[in-house]
Amino acid sequence: MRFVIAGNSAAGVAAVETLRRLGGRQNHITVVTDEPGETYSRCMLPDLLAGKKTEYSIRLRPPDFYRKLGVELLGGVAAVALQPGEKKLLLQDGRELAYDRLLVATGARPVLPEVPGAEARGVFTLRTLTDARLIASLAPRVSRAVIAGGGLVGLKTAYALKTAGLDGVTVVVTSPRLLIRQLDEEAAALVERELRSAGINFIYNARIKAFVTGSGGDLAGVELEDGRELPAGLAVVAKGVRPNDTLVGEAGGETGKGIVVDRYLRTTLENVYAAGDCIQVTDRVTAQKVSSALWTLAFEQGRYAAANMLGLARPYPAPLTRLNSARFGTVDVISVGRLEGPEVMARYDPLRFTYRRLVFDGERLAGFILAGKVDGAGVYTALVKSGRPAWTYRRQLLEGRAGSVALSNFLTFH
Amino acid sequence: MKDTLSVDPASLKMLEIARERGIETAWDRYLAQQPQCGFGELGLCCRNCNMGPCRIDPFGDGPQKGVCGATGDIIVARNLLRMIAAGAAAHSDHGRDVVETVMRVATGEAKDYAIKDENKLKALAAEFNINTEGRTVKEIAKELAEAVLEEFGTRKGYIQTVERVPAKRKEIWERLGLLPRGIDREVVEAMHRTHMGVDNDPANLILHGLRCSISDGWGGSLLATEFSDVLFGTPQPVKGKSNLGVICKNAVNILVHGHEPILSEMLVAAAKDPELVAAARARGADGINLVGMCCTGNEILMRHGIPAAGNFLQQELAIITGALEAVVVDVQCIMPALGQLAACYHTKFISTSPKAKFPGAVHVPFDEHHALDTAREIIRLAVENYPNRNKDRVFIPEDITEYVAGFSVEAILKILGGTLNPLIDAIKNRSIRGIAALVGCNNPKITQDYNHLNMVKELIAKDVLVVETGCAAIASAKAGLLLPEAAELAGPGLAGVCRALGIPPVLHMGSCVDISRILVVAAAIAGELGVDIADLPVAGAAPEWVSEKAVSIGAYVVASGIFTVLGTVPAVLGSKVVTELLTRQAKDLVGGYFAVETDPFRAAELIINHIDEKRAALGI
Amino acid sequence: MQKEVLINFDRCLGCRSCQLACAVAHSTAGNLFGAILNGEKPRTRIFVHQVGGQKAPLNCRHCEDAPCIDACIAGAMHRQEDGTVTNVGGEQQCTACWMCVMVCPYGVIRSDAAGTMALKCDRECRDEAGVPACVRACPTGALVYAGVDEYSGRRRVDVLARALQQVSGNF
Ligand SMILES: Cc1cc2nc3c(=O)[nH]c(=O)nc-3n(C[C@H](O)[C@H](O)[C@H](O)COP(=O)(O)OP(=O)(O)OC[C@H]3O[C@@H](n4cnc5c(N)ncnc54)[C@H](O)[C@@H]3O)c2cc1C
Ligand code: SF4
Ligand code: SF4
Ligand code: SF4
Repeated sequence: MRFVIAGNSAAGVAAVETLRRLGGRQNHITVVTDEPGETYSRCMLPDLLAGKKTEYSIRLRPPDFYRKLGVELLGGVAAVALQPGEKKLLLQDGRELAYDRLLVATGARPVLPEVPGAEARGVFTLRTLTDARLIASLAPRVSRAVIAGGGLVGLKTAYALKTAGLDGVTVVVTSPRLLIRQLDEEAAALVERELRSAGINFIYNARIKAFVTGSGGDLAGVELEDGRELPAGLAVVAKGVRPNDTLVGEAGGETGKGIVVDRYLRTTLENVYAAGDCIQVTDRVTAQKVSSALWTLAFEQGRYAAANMLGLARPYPAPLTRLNSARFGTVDVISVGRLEGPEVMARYDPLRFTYRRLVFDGERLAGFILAGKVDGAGVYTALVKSGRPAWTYRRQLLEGRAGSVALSNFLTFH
Repeated sequence: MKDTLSVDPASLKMLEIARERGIETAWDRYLAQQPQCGFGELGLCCRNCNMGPCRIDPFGDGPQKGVCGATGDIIVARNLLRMIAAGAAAHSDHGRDVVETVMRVATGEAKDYAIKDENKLKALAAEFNINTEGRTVKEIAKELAEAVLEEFGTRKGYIQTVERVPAKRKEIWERLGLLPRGIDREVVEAMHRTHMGVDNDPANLILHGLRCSISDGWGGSLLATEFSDVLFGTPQPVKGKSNLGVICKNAVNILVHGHEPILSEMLVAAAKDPELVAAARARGADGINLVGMCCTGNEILMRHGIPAAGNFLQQELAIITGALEAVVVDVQCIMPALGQLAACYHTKFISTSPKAKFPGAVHVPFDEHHALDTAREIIRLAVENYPNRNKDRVFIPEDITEYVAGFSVEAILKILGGTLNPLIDAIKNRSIRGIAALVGCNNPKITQDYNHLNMVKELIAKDVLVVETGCAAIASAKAGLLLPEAAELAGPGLAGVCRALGIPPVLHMGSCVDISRILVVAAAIAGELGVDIADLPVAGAAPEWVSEKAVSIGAYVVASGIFTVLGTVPAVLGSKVVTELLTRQAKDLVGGYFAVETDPFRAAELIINHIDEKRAALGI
Repeated sequence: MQKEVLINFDRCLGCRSCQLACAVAHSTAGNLFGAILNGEKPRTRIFVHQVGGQKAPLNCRHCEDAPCIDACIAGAMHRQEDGTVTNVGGEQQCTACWMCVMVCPYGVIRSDAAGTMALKCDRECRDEAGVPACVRACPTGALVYAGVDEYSGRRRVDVLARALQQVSGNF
């Protein structure tokens, strides 16, 4: 069989590995990617900016990965069109790739604000290695940077630039506080304190009106809607991502908050599967349709999609689409599932410098936040995910005694 | 040296037999205990109250405090103090039994015993300010015994016998608050302090441990030695035989095992009873053969030349020979395994002390009032058991080694012509580089006798005179090191001294309570030189130590100013504070300190370096 | 057959010998006294917990579809030939993002003391006979290293599988 995979990141790599692991060597596998070079970890791009990692050390797989698995890699070439009837994928350079099964794992791209000056030299998004290289080459030549967006990518970028040595790093946040989609007020405050002590400034309830250019078209500053002007030689926009679903959409496939797939990760197009940031999924807890947009999900979807492409019929269970882990200095935060719910309990544990918030919906743990020390977080995640009654464990969970909860679970079935 | 269980050929042969017959020994049980609990090995578990048990994670990962808040340092220190207290209690309770026997002799209740060393009695009386003029031995003995029994719980400032230490030593103890009160008080106080929520200062706990141990070494143990001498005579050099080969194929064999001489002395007498000997012959035996084990063995070997069948790890092996009609025990270091083992043979396992009963033992209560009668009864049990012996299961290794034992302080003085000066001169002119005291048990963690013998050989080869007690001494006996001919193995200086005096390079000074004899010699030499014990080119070692008694010994030897090397690791490493205190700070506080070295060659080197350092400081 | 550290819950006394042995096996000295004397601070990867009167250790189950492997953004978490799931000894280095911590349903991945990498049961503790340190240390036989079938047949497999499924959802 001929498998073609468009996309060479989390979902693509997981699919390649699974196709080989479960399907043996006989199938022909081709991977197409519009990025040059080998696969790397997108999530670690901030570490690269910060100077904590090198391009070499953020590789996701070793250089001989494709050769060893006997996979053909077509790098630096975009797939531009899909002909599901002919089972062909058309490439930018005119090549046509025939497939028996196609996996679309094209991920997502950042949203750019429609404000004047957004195209100025010095205004970036951070999604690809190329983005990171450009930012990294400019950073040493400027002293001030503005980050638009108080989400995870924005804050990670801000922290990275600060670590890289920029004098002034200001984060402009539309919301009244940072990480509004991930954290509650207390946890966000812990993160903010950590970031402020690292020297990062925050401006809340603010929107960017324009990117101001100076002589030669270089970025000079950022103008806010309230009229304030922030001088800056570098700006990074981190206002979320949009799924790369056009390939399927234009070929007549259904899309919504991304490519629509069934529980076998099949698109509405025959023999076309999709996985990763480019698809729409149904949240396990809220039952809402959302974009996938998480590394872990991209990886497991890649795995499931591959199994299904091999005909193994592995239904992909509805995922948790809020599943975040981040580190800011000494503060680790993990936030999973719902932020709000019928029953919320929260407590700061001064002995372990850890804030814990539990959201219950009836017997079920619907979500949680851990900020500070996060050991044992997976036990909470498992409860959110499985939906098993968890109310009886609320004390242990609130006190961080995850181990005994894990053991209870184990024993219950012994 | 892990590949063999013992360096003693007799032990190895018996272990082979044990394996063939499917009999379990301490070595097997040691293996079965592997792995041993790391918290215990580090001294980090506490069971002192019922909020516990608690244990401390040594790597700072898990809990760092017990429920009460006790840290690893506190727990280690408390555990160590309890070990010292137990060891001190064992020695000193033994001491009290001996003094009480003297008392009963004086009152006429213990008619089978007599005062054998009147000189020593009088000297002790003088030490305790008891008038001897115109009084009978019994009168003196009674008053002395009363005074001494009082010492065990003395209410005066400190015990009388502390006056035996050099003035400098006493000053140090006084300054540190280490002058010991009676052992009862020190042990009780140790138990009090280690109770939950009492003493929680590691240093304070350890200092009390030292005081408690001093009350043992210079009190309870010393009195055990002195009163044993009063009662049974002060040992003089005596020849004898050692190792399992001393068990006779054609005799009624009785193994005396344990620690106190009170019972064994009577057994020695009863075994000579013509009527019992005749009874043995009537049953086809050549006669009655009494042999000793552990410190009871030491007590009777050094006073009567009774053969020593072996040391601690050979107690089971002796039974496995199949040729023991009885194993008679009193207290301490008697493996409770003996009952079951004896049941595999015809051997009668006879316990005698109300304090020490064992599963599988016949209990024949021994009391001083009817001592000889009880002893006869015990021997009779053995004699009557002789026909039950299964000759086919008898295997006695041929190994027998001769020895000379019985070097009490008095004996040494006599050899030296009445004063210590010849010894001191020999030390000064470096014929004798220094003195090392090797003491203690056998431990299945170490190839039996391997550490003992190798340390002894290393030391004497470098002209260090070795003095020994307990199972260490028996190890040397079995290896022929307690013979004057062993001088061949000594360095030229020491060999010369040995040849001139006709003594072995390794002096057997008695049982484990007799370590007090070593202290007394050390104190006397220091006194003669006008220095402190800590200034002498002297060191101690417990190369294969096992028991809590050894912990107390180690503590009082160090407290007396003597550097001491331990051959098995004590359960203190869980606390840096306590470890530092014992291995470093102790040096500044009391002069003595500990080192742990499981390799006998390196241990000997540590001792030699220490001795050379002390020599240099003394300018000799 | 692939071997697993199986847990016989009824036997655990809660002595934590397994924890200590695991830590020691991951020390440079490789033995308890040595590690203590060097002042090392090795960390355990097995954890004894208590539920009611029941004490038992938990360590990595080396899940078949290990969620930690999916979650690892560094590509450090991987499966070795013998089935061991580990983030050491592979091509990529752990970056301490705690994604694996977030998804391990048994809570047995944890941070190292410095917070610089995730630690988990990596079976880098096996002796010449291939037996892991915790198993060797357990005085009661509560830990057994065996192929699941060898151990006690289907029943236990079912129990493990069921527990796994229920605890972790359908990964
Ligand atoms: C800075 C940063 C930090 C992040 N941190 C986290 C985090 O902590 N946790 C988390 O869960 N997620 C994080 N994410 C999100 C995470 O990186 C994505 O969820 C994940 O990379 C999605 O993987 P994917 O394989 O679906 O797609 P992508 O990683 O987006 O990769 C898409 C692939 O498709 C290729 N491609 C796209 N279009 C075409 C085309 N037309 N033709 C050919 N090839 C094409 C691209 O070259 C690429 O190889 C972060 C993202 C960023 C940018
Ligand atoms: S005394 Fe303290 S450390 Fe010991 S068992 Fe009690 S609470 Fe635990
Ligand atoms: S903490 Fe390390 S092993 Fe775990 S997911 Fe992150 S990089 Fe991978
Ligand atoms: S070593 Fe065994 S008995 Fe002890 S805690 Fe671990 S599993 Fe339980």
